[in-house]
Amino acid sequence: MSLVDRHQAAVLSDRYMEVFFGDLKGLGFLVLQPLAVAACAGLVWQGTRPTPTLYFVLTFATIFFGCVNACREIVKERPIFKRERLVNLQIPAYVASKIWVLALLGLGQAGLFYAGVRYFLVLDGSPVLMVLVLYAGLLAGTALGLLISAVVGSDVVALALVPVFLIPQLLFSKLIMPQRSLDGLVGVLENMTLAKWSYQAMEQVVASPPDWAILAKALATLVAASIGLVVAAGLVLRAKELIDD
Amino acid sequence: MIKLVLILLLAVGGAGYWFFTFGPAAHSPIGVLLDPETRKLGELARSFLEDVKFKDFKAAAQYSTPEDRDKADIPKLIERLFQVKPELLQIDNIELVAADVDSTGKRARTKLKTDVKLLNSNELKHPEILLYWKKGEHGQWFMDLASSLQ
Repeated sequence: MSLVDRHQAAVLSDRYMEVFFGDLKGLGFLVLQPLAVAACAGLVWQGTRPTPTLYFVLTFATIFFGCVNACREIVKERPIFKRERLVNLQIPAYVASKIWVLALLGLGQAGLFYAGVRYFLVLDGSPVLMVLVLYAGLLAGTALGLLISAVVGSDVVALALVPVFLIPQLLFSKLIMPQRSLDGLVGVLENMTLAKWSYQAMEQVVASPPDWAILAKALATLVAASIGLVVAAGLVLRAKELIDD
Repeated sequence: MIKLVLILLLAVGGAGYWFFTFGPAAHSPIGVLLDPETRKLGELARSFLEDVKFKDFKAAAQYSTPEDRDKADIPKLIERLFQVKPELLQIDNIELVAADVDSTGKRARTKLKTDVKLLNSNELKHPEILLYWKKGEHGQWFMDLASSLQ
């Protein structure tokens, strides 16, 4: 028997997607969010050549989008989840449906974000690789958001926790202290941030020529982190059930 | 529903890939392309540098006003700009960074980024080039070559 009930995951994904398309305001927000941030970044860097700071801003923004998109998605339907668990709702299928739909919408957001920035300036590197790296960051942010959503008890707390997880992504980055080598505890924490791997991948995308090994390692780390965070979200949901029982 | 969204995303992604890799946005910002005036200026600027790239200095001189064309010593001006003789210059990539028109609509400038290889030293450079333009009586743009290549 497979870990994820595919039929259940497909039904849940379809329902979740319909909910998204039923809420046009929410969908509009998902479209406007990357365009608005792209416009801000574009206005700042318009007429200049892209800098490492711009590339960091792009990678950080996508992590932010993913996290914000996902941070309320489990907690807001906790009563429905609890009720459906009574009629054999499978946690892996439930979590898979969330990440699957959010990942699809995130792909659109990553593409829109890239196009939005390209309205103002030309970015270095291959557009496909650039969108892939932005998407990998967004996906990892989504997984982090789902974990937050699984852990907290209300969507207000979820939103409050987002900066707690995202600001360290900025603080433990070479962008803040470019001259200082990040070692010891700070180095360990930096390695745990999604922004580090996302930016490392981005550095290679815009390098000429890219170091494919570093790019592959950074992308693999982001994918592994995404899988790990999604699995953790599922485990948290199960653990909370056991505690409640 | 999911399949529909997936197909839509793939279709838009494919179109986007073409647009940003081979299409008009491959070497210039979309914003420049949307305004007919800046798009025209972008095309002229890229075309001028392409003439320089292929050492067609006679064609490169045609962007100046008719009265300046004969006076324009493009090789000398290029030497001043790149600090190297034109025959030692290999231009590989031309990218439009920005194009803007002033409030009167009669003057404009284009900013371009190029990848340049100096053949005598194998040194790679990425100079930015500003080209200044003036509108002629009949609405056509002429390059102010002297100020562009200062």
